[in-house]
Amino acid sequence: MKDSEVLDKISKGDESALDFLYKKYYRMMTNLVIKNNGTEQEAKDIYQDALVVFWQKAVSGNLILTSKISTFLYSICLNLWRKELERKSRLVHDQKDGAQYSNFEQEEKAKIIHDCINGMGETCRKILSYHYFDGLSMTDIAEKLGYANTDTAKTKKYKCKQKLYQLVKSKYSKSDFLD
Amino acid sequence: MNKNINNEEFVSQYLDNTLSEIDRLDFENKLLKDADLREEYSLQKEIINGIKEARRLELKSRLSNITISTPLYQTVAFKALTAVTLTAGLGVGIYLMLNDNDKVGISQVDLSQYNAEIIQQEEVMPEVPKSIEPIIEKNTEIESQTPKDSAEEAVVAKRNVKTPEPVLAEPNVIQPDVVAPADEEYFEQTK
Repeated sequence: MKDSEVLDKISKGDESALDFLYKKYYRMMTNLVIKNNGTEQEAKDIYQDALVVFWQKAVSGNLILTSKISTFLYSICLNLWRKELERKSRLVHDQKDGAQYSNFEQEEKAKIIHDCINGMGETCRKILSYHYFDGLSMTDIAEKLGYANTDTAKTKKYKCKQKLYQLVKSKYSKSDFLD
Repeated sequence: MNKNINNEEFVSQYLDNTLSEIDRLDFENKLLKDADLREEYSLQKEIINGIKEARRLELKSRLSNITISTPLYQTVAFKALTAVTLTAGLGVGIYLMLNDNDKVGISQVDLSQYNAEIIQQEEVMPEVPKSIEPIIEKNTEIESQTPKDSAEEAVVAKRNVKTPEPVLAEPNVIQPDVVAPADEEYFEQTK
């Protein structure tokens, strides 16, 4: 598959193109991390993150590549790994200072939201993901999920978001009581 | 309550980017002063971040499911396969080489038999080249000797001292006078 074909597939939301890229460049990208003091698992994690970043940029169809996909992926991996190395060295300092408390509260909130999202139906999860993460237009979402028209998708998205909002809010207030 | 519902809608529209330019500025101004609006804003922002994170994890887990099989292929099986192919290729190469040698031997035998048959059929021929060849050899030797310039004579003389005499002695005596003039005559005729 050529780069242009891969981009075309991704812009249509075809996740198999992501699988294709993943297999094609696995060794090349993971070696980058492994050769820079990373473990196999870290390398895999960074590469997966990089591909997801690439997906998010490409899926909107607005990505204009001036290089090969592999070059672009390589630079994303490099940046992500550099950030991760910085985070690791900062973590060592933070543990010395004992400044973990605010992080804990934040993580707790994120976990509540995560549980609420997983508690929703698959359709709602998809609509919200496609809208907020993939940045798909309502027309694209309607097409992807087989709705008759854009308005149906809009209404559905509004209802799903409302549902999630209420769910999170109710859980939030409960956890506030516990504090 | 009414104020809260307004806040929720206000934030939602701000995050969905559906506010007009004026309303947008108005919202950002209020956000600095109004603690309730700020709380609502951060809640909705966290929800959206949560949605994004969930999608991110979904895509990642999709990729993780692929990985389990592919790197194994590339590391263990693939390397083993290349090793096997290389050794097999090497083996086949050596086998072919040995086999080739045998074939060459056989073909040489065949050829020599074939040649022998030909020679037997044309037994008269071999005698002719034997008589011609020495003449040609002597001829070339004479030709190399004949263009002796006065300047070169000294060098040639030295060579003559070093090189064994029999080579020089033989050609001078036997044939040169017969062949050389014949050549000159031939050339003159063609001219």
